[in-house]
Amino acid sequence: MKSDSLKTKDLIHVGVYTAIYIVVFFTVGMINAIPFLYPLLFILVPLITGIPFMLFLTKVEKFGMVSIMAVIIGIFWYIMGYTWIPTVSFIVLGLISDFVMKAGKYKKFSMNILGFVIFSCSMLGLPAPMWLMTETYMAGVREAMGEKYVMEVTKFMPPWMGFVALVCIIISSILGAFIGRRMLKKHFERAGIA
Amino acid sequence: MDNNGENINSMVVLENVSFSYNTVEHSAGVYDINLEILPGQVVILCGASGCGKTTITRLINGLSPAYYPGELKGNILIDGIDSSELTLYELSQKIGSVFQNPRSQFFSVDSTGEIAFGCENIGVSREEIYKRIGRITKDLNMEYLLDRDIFALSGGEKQKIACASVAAMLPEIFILDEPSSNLDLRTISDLKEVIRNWKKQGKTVIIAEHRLYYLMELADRVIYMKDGRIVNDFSIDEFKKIEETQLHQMGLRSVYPVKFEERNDENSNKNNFSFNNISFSYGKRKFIDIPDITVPYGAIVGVLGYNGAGKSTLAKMICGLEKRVKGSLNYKSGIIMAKDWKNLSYMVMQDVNHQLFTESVLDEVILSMEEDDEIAKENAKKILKDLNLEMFCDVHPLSLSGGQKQRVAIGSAIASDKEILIFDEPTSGLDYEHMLEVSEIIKHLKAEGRTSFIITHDPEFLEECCDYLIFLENGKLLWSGAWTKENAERVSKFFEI
Amino acid sequence: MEENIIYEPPKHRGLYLDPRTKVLVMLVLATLIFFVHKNLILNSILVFIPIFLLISDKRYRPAFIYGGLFVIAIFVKIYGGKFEFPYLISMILGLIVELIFRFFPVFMFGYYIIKSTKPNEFISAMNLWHIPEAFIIPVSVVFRFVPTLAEENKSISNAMRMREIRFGTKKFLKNPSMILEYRLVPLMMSVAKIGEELSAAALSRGLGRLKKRTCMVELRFGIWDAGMAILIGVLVIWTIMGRI
Repeated sequence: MKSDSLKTKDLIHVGVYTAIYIVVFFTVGMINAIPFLYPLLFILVPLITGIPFMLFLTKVEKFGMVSIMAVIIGIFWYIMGYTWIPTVSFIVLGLISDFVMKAGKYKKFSMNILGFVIFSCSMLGLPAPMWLMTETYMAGVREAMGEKYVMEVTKFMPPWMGFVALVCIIISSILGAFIGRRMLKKHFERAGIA
Repeated sequence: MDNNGENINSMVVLENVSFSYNTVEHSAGVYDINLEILPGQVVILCGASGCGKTTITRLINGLSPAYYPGELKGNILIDGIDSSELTLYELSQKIGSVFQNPRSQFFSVDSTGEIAFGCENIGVSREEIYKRIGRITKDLNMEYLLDRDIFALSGGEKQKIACASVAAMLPEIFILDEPSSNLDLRTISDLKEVIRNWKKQGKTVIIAEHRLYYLMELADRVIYMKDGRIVNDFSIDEFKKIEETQLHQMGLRSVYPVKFEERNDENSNKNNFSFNNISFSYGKRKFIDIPDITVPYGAIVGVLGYNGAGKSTLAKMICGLEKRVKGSLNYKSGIIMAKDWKNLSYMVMQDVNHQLFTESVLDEVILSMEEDDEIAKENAKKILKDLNLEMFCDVHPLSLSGGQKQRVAIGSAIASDKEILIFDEPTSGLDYEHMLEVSEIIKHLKAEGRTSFIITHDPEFLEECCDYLIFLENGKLLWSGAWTKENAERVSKFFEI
Repeated sequence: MEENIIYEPPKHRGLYLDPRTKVLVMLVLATLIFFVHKNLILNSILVFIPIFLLISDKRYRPAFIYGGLFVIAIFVKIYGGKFEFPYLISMILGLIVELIFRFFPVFMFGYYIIKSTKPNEFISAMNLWHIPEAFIIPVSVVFRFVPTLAEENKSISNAMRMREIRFGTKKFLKNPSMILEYRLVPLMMSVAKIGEELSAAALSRGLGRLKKRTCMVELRFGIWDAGMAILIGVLVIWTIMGRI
C-alpha cells in the first residue's frame, strides 16, 4: 500500500473522531427541542467540534479522512430521519473540504480553517427540509395546531434564517478552528498527544 | 544474515537490535539488544519503569516500527523468519499480544464476538471458530463469560477475554505487556492459570511485568533491563537466589508472598471519627449498607476486598460523587450529612488522566485553591516542592510519567485543604522505587494530620504504608482494625494466591 | 486432546432479523416517514414496528417510554387544536408532536439496531454487500466508541465535581470558557489514547483484510425477514397508493 492511502490504523482514527463528532452534535442538539434556541446550534456545534476536528487533522493527514467521516455522518442523519438533504450536503461539502485541506497537506492552518468552515456548513442541510419543504412540512403542522400557530411559526423561521444561520456557522467555525488550534498548542502538543 | 543456521531452532531472536521512537512518546528506546528465546520458554522481562521492556514486546510483535514508528537497527527473527519481511497481518498469526489496559483492547461490544474477533480477521471457518471458543473457554475456565456485554465486565474479566481472544488464534508466541496492572488478586491467580495452560501446551510466553511473585512457579528465565539495555539474563533458579533487598535495589518488586505481622497500633493514642448508618442503593438493591465505620484521625486506612465488594462505591460515596447516599459522619465534634462530605474529601483516581485539567503543573495546583494571587502561587510552589515536583512547574501535567501525574493530583488535593484523601489503586503498575515514593508521600500527609483511605491490591504497598485496615464484602464491612495478630493473619490469607 | 467442546451460540429467542434486513428496513422506514404524515393509521404502523421489535428484544423500558410518548402525541394531534393553549406551549407541543411522529420511529429503530446487532454481524453483512472497508471499519469503531465516550465523560464529570469546576462558582465566573476546556480536553486526551491502544490491539489481532474475513455468526434470511419484507412491501404500496 502507498503511504498516502488510508490504512487500518487511520480508519480506526476516522471512526473515533466520527463518534466524537456525532456525540457532541447530539448532546448539543438536545437543545433544538426548544425552537427559539435552534439557531444556537449553529453557533455551538462548530465552536465545540473545532477542538476534536483540529486534533483529528493531526492524527491522519491523508486524503479521504474527512470524506469518510462526512459520508458516515450524512448516512447517520438519513437514518435519523432528517431526509436526504443533510446526507447530500455532508457528502458534497465533506468532499470539497477534504480537497481544500489536502491542498495544504492538512498542515497549513489557513487551508484547515477554510476546510473546517466548509465542513461545518454542511450542518445547514439539517434544517433545510424545513425551508425547502415548507409546504408539506407546514401542512402537517397546520392540521395539528391550527392556522394561527402556523403563521406564528413561519414568522420565526423565515427563509432568510438560512442566511443568518450560514453567517453564524462561518463565524463560529472560524472561531472554533482557532480555539481548536489554541488547545492543540496549549494542551495536546505539550502533552505529546498531537 | 549469512549465519542464520544456528538460530533455526529459536522462536524469537533479536540480533544487535537498537530502536528509538520518532515521536515524543515517553516509552524509552532500547539499545544493543541480543536475545534468543527458545520454543516453550516462559520469559519475564523486568526492570524499573521506562527501562524499555514494553519496547521489546513491541519489537517482537511487530508494532514497532509498523505502528509505533521509529528507527530500527539490527535483525529480528520470528520462528526463523526476518520479521521485517512480514506484515502485521502475518505476524498476528504467529504472535498473540495482550496489553496492559483492559478498557482499550477490545473491539467488539460482546464477549463472544471479541474472542472470535482475531479468528474472524484471519479467516478461520465458522465451525472451527466454534470449536476453538468451546475449547479455549474451557481451558481458561471462563464459560460464564460467554455472551456478555463487555462494557459491563470488570477489568479482570476483560483481561481474560483478551487472553482468550489471542489464544483462539492459536499463536506460537504469547506476548503480555504488564497484564496484571489493573487486576485484583483473584484475577491475577486466574491469569497465572492461563499462563500455566499455555506453558503446558508448549507455547513460548514473554511477559513484561512489575509484579513478579505470581510468575515464579512458571517462568524459566528472567531478563533484567535498565535504561534500554539488557543487564542480566537469569535462569529462574539464579533469580530465586537473589536476596529481597537486592531486588529492591534493582528497582524490582518482591518475588515472595509478603509476610504480614502483628504491629503496634500507631494510632492508639488518637481519637476516632466515624461514618454512621451509611447506605447507598440503586433501585431496590442496596450496594452499600454499613452501620458503622470507625477510623482514627490521621490513619492510613487500607481498604481491602474483592472486585465488586463495594470499595469503589464507598470511595465515591465519601467524596460526595454518588447521589442517594444516606448516613452521617461524626467528625471533629460535628455531624456532617452525606451531601456535605465532598467539602471534606478528595479522591486520587485510578486513571489519574481524568482529573488533570490545566496546562501546567503549577496551574493545576492553584486551580484547587480559593484564590489565585501571588500568595497562592507561593503556597502552590511549596506544595510542589514537598512532592518533589518543583522542576516541573511549567510542564503540561499530562506529559509527565504515571507516577508524576499521580503526585500532581495529590498536590491538588493538598491545595484544596481536604482532610480526607482517598486513593484508588495508587500503585498499580508502579515499580518498587515509585511505590516507595507514593508511600512516603502518604506518610507525609499523615504527619500533616490528614486521613487517607487506600483501595489497593498491592500487598507490598499495604505492608509498607497502611496502619489501619477495613475489609469489605458484598457492600458490608466484614472487619476493621489495626494490625492485630488476627488481622495480620486475615490479610495474609486474603493475599494468598 | 480432551473431549471436544463446541461453543453453541445462544438460540435467538423470538424474533431474529438478519442485519441486512435491519439496514434495509431502516432505509425504507426513513424514506417512508416523509410521505405518510397525512395518514395517521399508516404513520402509526411505522411507529408500531420499532416498538414491537424493541419488545421482542426484551427492551421494555425504551419501548414503554416511546409507546407512552406516542399515545400522548396522538392525543395531542387529535384534540390539540380544540384547546386554547398559550402560544409558547402550543408551539413547543406542536414541535414535540412532530418530533415524535417524524423522527422517533426511525430513531427508535436505530436504537434497536444498535442494541441488537453485534459489530461482527454488521461487518460481515456489509462485506456481503461489498461495501469498502474504508467505510466498514470506521462505522464499527463508532459502535464501539459511543459507550466509551459516555464512560470517560462520567469519570471526568466526577473529577470536575471534586475540583468544584461547575457553573456559578467563583472560579467559573472568572473564566467561563473553562467549563468547555476542562471537559473536552481531558476527554479528547483519553479518547485519543484509547483510540491509539485500540488500533494497536486490533492490528495485532490481524484486523485489516476484510475480504478474507469470516464471521462467527451465520447470516441467513429467515422467516422473520420474509415477514418483514412483506410488511414493508405492503407499507410501500399503501404509501404510493395514498399519494396518487
